[in-house]
Amino acid sequence: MSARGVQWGVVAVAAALAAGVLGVQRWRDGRGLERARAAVAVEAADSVRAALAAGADLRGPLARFERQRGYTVTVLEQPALLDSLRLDEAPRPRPGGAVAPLKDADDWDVVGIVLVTAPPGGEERPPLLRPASAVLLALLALLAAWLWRWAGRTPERRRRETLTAWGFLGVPFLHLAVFSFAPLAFTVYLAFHEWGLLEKARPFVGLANFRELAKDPLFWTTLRNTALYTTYVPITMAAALGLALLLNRRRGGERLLRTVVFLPFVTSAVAIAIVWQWMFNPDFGLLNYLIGLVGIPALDWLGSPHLALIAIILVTVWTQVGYQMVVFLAGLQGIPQSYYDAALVDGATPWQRFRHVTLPLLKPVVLFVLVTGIISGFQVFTLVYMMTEGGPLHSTDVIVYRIYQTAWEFLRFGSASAMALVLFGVLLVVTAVQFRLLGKRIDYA
Amino acid sequence: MPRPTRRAGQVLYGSGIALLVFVMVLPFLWMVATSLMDEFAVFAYPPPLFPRPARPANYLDAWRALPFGRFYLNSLVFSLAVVVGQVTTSALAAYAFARLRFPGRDRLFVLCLGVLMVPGILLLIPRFLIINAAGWVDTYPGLISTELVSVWGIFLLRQFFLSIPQELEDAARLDGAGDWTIFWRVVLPLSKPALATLALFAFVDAWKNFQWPLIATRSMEMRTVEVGISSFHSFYYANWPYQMAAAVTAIAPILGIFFLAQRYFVRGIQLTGLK
Repeated sequence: MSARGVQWGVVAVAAALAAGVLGVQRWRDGRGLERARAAVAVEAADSVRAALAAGADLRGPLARFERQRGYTVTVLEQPALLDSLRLDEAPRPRPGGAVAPLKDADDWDVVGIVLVTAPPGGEERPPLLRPASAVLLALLALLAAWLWRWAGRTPERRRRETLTAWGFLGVPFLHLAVFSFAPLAFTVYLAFHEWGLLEKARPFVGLANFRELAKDPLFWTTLRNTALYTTYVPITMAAALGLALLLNRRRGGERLLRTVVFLPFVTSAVAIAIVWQWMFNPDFGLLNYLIGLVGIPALDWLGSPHLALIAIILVTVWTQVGYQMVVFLAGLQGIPQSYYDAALVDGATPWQRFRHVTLPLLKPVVLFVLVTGIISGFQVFTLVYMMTEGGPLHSTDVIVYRIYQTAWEFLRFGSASAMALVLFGVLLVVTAVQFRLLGKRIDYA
Repeated sequence: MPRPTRRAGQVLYGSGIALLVFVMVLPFLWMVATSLMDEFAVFAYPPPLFPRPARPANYLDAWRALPFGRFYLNSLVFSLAVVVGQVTTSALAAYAFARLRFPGRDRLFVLCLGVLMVPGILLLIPRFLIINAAGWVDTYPGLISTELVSVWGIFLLRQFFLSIPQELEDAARLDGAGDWTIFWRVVLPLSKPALATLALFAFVDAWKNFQWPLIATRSMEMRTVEVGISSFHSFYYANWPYQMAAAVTAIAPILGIFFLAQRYFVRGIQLTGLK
């Protein structure tokens, strides 16, 4: 395609997008106007009802209402036709109007409807360009200008390559933009707002959500529990590394074992939670029976605030050990045999070989398992949701479970977003610290 | 090394493996055993290990108690749509990232990888509000649309595409092939193992996905298997055989796939876990 063609294509796409932005704005403003009119109608219905209840003549209050609000009010009393269930059969409001049910003095039966109509030019007109759309349009224009310049000064071959690449990348990237990048920005926006599902008002509250978190002892408890929970990572790693070293020698049985330890990793967390809840049953569970065989008294695994988190850690170790073992095995098999031969010639003991050959060369793998393990550990949800619901006494209340409750049970999306951002920040810091501590001294073979 | 020591080592090794197999498999065996027991037979001490008599009717009863057929259908629709979507979009994006040149390519790739760092729940909140605004809560489009692209999939396929020799591409270009032909006729056919690995992981991950279907669906008719058995868990709290029967039916398809395609799982972990 010629440079001119690309440039005009850019302009056409930008114009279409701009029209889309303005269209969405218009549609939203229209909805806002409808909502405002509906509020006026409800207000009118209330004043009519008050007048009816007082037994006064309607004309006086209506005239006053019309004068004050600039809307024409019509009252249709149809007690026989209308009840609260058939309001949808009421006359449709004309453009620029709205209806509200008129209820009797007990606020129970619908005795009529109130129709309000705006006189021409009587309403506040929405602005032609809202700040948000202006920002979007400006960004769009900048992008278009940049693309225009780029198309003008780039040689034909590179231009074609780029167009081809975006042909391949377009759909996946658009999806990422809509469902990953935009949501990230949206979460930041939400964290500074009060945002419910039912309330129409969604006011900006500044840092109030974060301040509320800082003062909420339960939030700190969930953070502490989450951090305690992630201790499963080093425990699992030690076990998985031991197993991998054992199996790396290939003395038979390793295929069976690999299949078996991998089972929990492919099983769903919901099923695992159900089974283990039954295993942990204090009276009839298999676990208490087994530890009873070696003389340990029965424990109330999930019922005791001291044990519940440990029980969940236990299940997680059981679930993750197979996956980590497979990763470690792959790492071990990447270490050349010649290194061990050299160590043997130097007379290194098995421990020395492990300490000075295996461990340093395995460091990138260790770092990978540690970092990804802690990231996923901070996000534990299903086991807690299924097994303890955060209890007893919030001893297993972890942060993602708390965020879930705040958003989808208490419908406080702003506060939940603030928590999610805090979680994100904690994860970034923790990951950076791990790279700082372990990442530097990686000895590449 | 003297013989007795080696023998002892062998015995130790063998019993270690046996113990481990026992620990890993025991919960599964007990799940199946309990699922076949009578509702009240399980409340005994010591815990009965074998159902006597076996009661396979638990499976039928559990299946009838909640619309499990519907759960299966929903999970199947969800998982298959996710597989098709993720394999398609990952292959397209990975081809652009691995084998084409354009300004800002590597920065864009790093930006995409950054999504992997973001905690899942942080994205679930706005994604839910988006599908809620679109009126898609409790529908297939709402359930499926957010899951159609996987950054992990793009990463996996990019690594694989990078390993395909440039000579093959050059030869195809000499024959007059364009990028689309190279993608469709050269790169994709050579990448079948990687595509299979991705498809497998996408299917299993979608089937196991709990949080998103829990949030994005409301009615019993739209629940997936995972969310379905979690409500079963709360409805039949005291009936352990029912719960176990439900759990067994829920994980059976995944375990079946795992036994058939185990090496693809291991390969997938080795490809992305380690590069």
